[in-house]
Amino acid sequence: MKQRKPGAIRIGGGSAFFNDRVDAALELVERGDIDVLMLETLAERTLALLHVARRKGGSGYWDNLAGRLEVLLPAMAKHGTKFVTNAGGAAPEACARMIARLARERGITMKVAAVTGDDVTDLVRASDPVLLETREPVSRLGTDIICTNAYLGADAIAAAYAAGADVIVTGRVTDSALALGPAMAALGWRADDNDAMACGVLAGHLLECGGQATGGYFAEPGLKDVPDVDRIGFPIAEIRDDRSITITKPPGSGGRIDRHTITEQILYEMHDPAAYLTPDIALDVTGLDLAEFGENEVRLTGARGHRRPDTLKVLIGVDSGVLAEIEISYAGINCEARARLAADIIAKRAARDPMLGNQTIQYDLIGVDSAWPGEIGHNVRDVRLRVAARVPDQAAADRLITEVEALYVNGPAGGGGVRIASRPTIRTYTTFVPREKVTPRWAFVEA
Amino acid sequence: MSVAKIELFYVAHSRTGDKGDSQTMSLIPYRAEDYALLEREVTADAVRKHFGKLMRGNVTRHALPNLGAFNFVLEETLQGGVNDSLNLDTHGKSRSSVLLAMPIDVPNDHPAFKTRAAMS
Repeated sequence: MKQRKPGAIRIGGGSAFFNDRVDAALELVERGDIDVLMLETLAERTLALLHVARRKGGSGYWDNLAGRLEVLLPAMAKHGTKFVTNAGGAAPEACARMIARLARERGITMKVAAVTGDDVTDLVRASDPVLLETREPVSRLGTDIICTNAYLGADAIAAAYAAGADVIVTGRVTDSALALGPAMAALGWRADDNDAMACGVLAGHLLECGGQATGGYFAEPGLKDVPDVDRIGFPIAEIRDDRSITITKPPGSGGRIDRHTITEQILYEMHDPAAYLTPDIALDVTGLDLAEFGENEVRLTGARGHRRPDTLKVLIGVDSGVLAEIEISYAGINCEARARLAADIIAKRAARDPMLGNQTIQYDLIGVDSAWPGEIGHNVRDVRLRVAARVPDQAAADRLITEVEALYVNGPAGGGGVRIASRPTIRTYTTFVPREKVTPRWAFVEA
Repeated sequence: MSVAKIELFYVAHSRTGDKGDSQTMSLIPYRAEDYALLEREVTADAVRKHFGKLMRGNVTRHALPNLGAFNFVLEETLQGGVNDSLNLDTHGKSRSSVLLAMPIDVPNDHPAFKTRAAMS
């Protein structure tokens, strides 16, 4: 296949989560001169949310994806941009078919592939491995398992890309594989070439959080400012066959790329910088060299790879009850004392309540100037009491909600602005399975 | 030359990431020449003491002289992790600001004092 530049592949990091900015992703396609648009959309627990939705008759992939692709697909077709995403969530094949259908309806010819094999429910049920968190076998969890997914590596993505796929949709893969796969195929990198794998993983790591590499999540007013921070350009990694990575962003976009922004993102969510574990390689960034070129361009060399793990990480999602969060505000002189009294009233009443007596309830005090905006100097700051608990079911959540709401009339003076939120939550457990027991697969799909 | 206390905030920047029940925090000096100062002042032990009751597990510090940065791993800081946390900031992503509130000893002519004066 042909890239825009010989000996290099240019990949744009178009999202850090499923609801990230579409305008910035579109800017990458239209003005980033990229070969591949990568959309990362799955956090640790969000995949479980998709599994829950699917059980209730939902699609199993992100429902907002079609709307995003209405914007992105025509631009990608026009610019010949390939598209790799883990937005397939709990249903990569269905998601891929949806994309193929969307393309066909618009008269766009695209070969769409789905990567599967991350669902290891049967394997884990049969082998019953020990959980990292509890040090006990999975079968001892004693609760309904929502989903069991292994973090796949880049190999199936690379194979699909090499076979000419224009769109590759996955479920759970390690985020960096969304960049490493295309890089392997485009640059002819072999999986046993450790430093090449390390280079691709590092590029993916810098792209997977979108704007976090280009001045997002960075601004400190007056100390480390970010130019045009309201329109940050998302990152482009030019991965070269000499194992260098150059990070840039679309010309004219806002944001900031220098050794400070890039270093923050290199270390983001990294435990041991000498062995950042992925299914594809253990990435070592301790010998990395960063060079700044002109404005908003950083070149990275010296990523090293060590032997990849023999096991794949598996996340198991289980139901974790209902999280209830209720807030109420107090303002002016002595507001903190009134908020504390309110918390005390809730605590005493909850302790006497059969549904809430055994629950852990957290009380936080929040606030600046919502009661008299802009007039902090007049000693009318506000304190917002937040009451939060994770309870077994909605009935218990409703009990707590009722208690906080009743502060309106029965609590301390001047309480106002009650807001109520409650939602089912999921928790995740971690285990590991032998790599050879997991078979990543890919296939083209029809609309 | 005598030393004086200043918050880490004026000397370095930081980003927090989470994974399970542990958190990572980078620490990157604004001026490359402050690397040695941070190496001396911001030890794993000092960070553990600074976080006090928020900490249950170990703190590990990884030094990255090549990058001019440090990476801290704080274990068991999230009340059982994102999973069980009742905090408003479930992921603890705002904790980098807690780290940067830590006072450290610097020479009393350090430019960070000027920065602080300009910002207050």
